[in-house]
Amino acid sequence: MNERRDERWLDEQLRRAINTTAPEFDAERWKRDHAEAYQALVARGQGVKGVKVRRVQGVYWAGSALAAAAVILVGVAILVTPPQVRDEPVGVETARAPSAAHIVSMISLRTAYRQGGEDALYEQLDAALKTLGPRPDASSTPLLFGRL
Amino acid sequence: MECGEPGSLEWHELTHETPDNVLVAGAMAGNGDSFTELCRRYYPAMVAVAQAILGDRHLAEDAAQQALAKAARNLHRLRKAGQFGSWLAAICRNAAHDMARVNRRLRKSQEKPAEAVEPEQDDAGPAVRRALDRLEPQAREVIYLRFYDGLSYERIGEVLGISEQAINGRLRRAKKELAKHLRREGFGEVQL
Repeated sequence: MNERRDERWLDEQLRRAINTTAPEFDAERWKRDHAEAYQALVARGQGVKGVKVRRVQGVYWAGSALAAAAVILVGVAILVTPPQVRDEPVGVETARAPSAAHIVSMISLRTAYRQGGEDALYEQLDAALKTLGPRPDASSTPLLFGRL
Repeated sequence: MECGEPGSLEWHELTHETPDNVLVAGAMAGNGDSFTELCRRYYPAMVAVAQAILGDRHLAEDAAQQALAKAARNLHRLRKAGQFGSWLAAICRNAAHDMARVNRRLRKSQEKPAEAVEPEQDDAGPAVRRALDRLEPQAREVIYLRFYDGLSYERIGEVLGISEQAINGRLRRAKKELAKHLRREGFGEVQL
């Protein structure tokens, strides 16, 4: 036993003692020998897919139900809430109008007539006159309206 | 790699580079090809683990295959895909221990007187095998894993659930222990 014994020697002895050739896995044979285990694995996948489909369907159903409920609630709210009454006088729009020409435009006059009748129409015209400034005593709204 | 939904028909573009955790996810979703690819990768390591317990290559292969079957049935119990290797090794150790118990009982019932074999002067094989048998199970396991062809440190680390550094430490201690047993067998000092 004079030979030198080092780590290389030990490694070589271990390689000889252990059958070190890596074994090959024969998948087809394993599937045949353990068919029940393999089928259990594959079948679980089908179960997972089924559950997933059911979950997705459930989500869609819940989403549809929520959307329908939201639409009904909004509809009821619109019906129950009384229509807002406009506090502003009809002629307020005239006060915002930048010029007399705008106030007496056909659209403005028609809108005023539709909303408040003849009185609203006269009020609009008065507003236009105020915007224009002082007027001769002789002129009046009916006269002006007549001329228009 | 482009993969479809795990378990679907498109999930078949598996390559040798497909990461283990992708394969584990596929197998958990019921993809058989993913699982058999995992088996192919881990089989040598499982045989090494089982052989460290059983001391017999053929029995070790049987134990490894049983372990893979048990893993297929219980894969849904695996919590972290990254721990597949160590989880599978634990199953394999149990399968090998069960097989070893059965074998011990069989051997006792069929025991024959051992034939006296004159050891060859240069052959250290029997002494090394005896020394291996005397090692702690953990030390014996790391030796078997290290001396199986083609097992990378990465794979050994995955199976044992330890780092490369820890593998080296465990391997060194195991070799020192082996050297001690060989010295007692009359092989003189082994310089490590």
